[in-house]
Amino acid sequence: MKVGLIYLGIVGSLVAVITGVPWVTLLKDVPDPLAGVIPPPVTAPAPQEPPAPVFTGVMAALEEPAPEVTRAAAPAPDALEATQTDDATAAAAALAALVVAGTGLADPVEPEPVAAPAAEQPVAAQVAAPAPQPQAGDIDQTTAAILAALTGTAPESGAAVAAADPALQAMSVAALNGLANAKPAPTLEGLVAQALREGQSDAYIDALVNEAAGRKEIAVPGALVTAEGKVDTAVLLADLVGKAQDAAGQPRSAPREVVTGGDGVEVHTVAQADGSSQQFRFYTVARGDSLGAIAEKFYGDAGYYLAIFEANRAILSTPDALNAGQRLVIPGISQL
Amino acid sequence: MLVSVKVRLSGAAVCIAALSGFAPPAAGQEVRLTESMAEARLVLNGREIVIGRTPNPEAVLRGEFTKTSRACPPFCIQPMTPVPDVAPAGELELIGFLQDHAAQGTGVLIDARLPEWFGKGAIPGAVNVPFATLDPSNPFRDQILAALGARPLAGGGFDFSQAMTLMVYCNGPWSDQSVRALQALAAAGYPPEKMMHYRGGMQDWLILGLTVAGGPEAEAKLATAEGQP
Repeated sequence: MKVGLIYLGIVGSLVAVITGVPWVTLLKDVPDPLAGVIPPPVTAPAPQEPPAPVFTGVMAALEEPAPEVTRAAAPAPDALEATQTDDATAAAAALAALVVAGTGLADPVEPEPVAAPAAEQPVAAQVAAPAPQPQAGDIDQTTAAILAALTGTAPESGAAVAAADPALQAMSVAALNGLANAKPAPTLEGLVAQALREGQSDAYIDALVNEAAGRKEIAVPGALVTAEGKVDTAVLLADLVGKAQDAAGQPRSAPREVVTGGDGVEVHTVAQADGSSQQFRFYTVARGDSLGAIAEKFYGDAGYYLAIFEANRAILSTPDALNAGQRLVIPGISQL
Repeated sequence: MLVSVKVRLSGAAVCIAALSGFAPPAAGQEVRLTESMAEARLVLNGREIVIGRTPNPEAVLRGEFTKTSRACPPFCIQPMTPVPDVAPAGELELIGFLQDHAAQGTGVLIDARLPEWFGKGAIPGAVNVPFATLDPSNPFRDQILAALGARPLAGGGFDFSQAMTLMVYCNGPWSDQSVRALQALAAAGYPPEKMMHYRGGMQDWLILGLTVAGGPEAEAKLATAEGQP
């Protein structure tokens, strides 16, 4: 519940950053307050353009100690889940939570009690900070892991620690030191999460990830490998924005027809015997393309790379075996 | 010609040794982990770990780990699966765990004994997390869980989805320390499928002559390798 509200705040600020319009202003024109709480789909940045401003927004939201909205303002996620409800109070609370949680662009509609969480750095965090260790899976897993790493809340600070029995304390400190030495190997997720926390630029993240991948220190999902064998960090970062939206309960899963023409895109319409016609789409891989980037291009979501991969198994042995000049079949939306 | 002479000579040497009752000369290859694996090597935290067995086929245990009838309570026979769904493990599973999880940074081998025992010798690569430190009354417990990769949640409790896989052991089948550690972890919400139990512990590790961390001194204290019984 609380997490949901925090994500609402993240998305609120994200949308505000992208559109440059405070949500509260927009909501005034929407008759049904509930409909207004769910922002329209955000146009994901094209893979070739570094989406820096978007991520600055994400990070600004993520790095702020997330305000903990008390029970009074809490019905928001329930109201969102049960879309049938027309409880105006819940909608107003959701709106208030959204404003309180992040945008800073407008005064809350109704001031709600907000409890600031303790965000002190615990001893353990200095001693040992294990990074998540998922296997190199698909883009979704990678993105989810990074978001999880970024939004993890800090453990309670050790106010009670002074009361510990000295022997127990000594054992605990020794255990913590031992665990700190058991440092996990770096992962793609860990590297990106750390760099985002540090506020590094997209170009820095791209260089960092590619250097580590070049030294074979990290495993990279095949769909993120470009035709030149580089890691497509632009698509990874774009997917992060999508996941932040998912976490806020926004529908993102529906693929959209994003591309109908353009460089490398061919559309053939074939007339069928029964008088109907069927469309076939092809895409010629360009330099710098990854399967994730192509999925983003055609469906608006890198997560659909598997559909393209499956449709092209005849010429692609693995998702990272992409080569410039290859002609890929692009499945229609109805085939996903 | 030369080769056949050598073969005959070494054959004769073995015969003489067997007849006269002398142990054959200690050679690492003669006491292997398994038929296909002489020893296990892995790199943990930048340090190479080699796990093999005492090369002397006549070696026996001396001291602490030779007792058969410790008083119960407290030294009672422990269950193989003290927490449902925690997988029991033997030596090969433990060595595989070190290679596949600990060396990859996705798992920790936990020695749940008290520091005094850990200091006498432990399984190579183990981290000492005494069972008492996992008790909810320990103010440091949450930090230890966090160090294991559990993510504290805002409303209390932990998200263990990114937590490390654990292999827990203690002194052996007659010691309840690993059992208490596993139960405490499970009570804190640690997923049983992320935990394994090496019930044999130091007792079984030593009876197989497996490498003990802590150097020759530790090995001498725990598992005296003697050529003559």
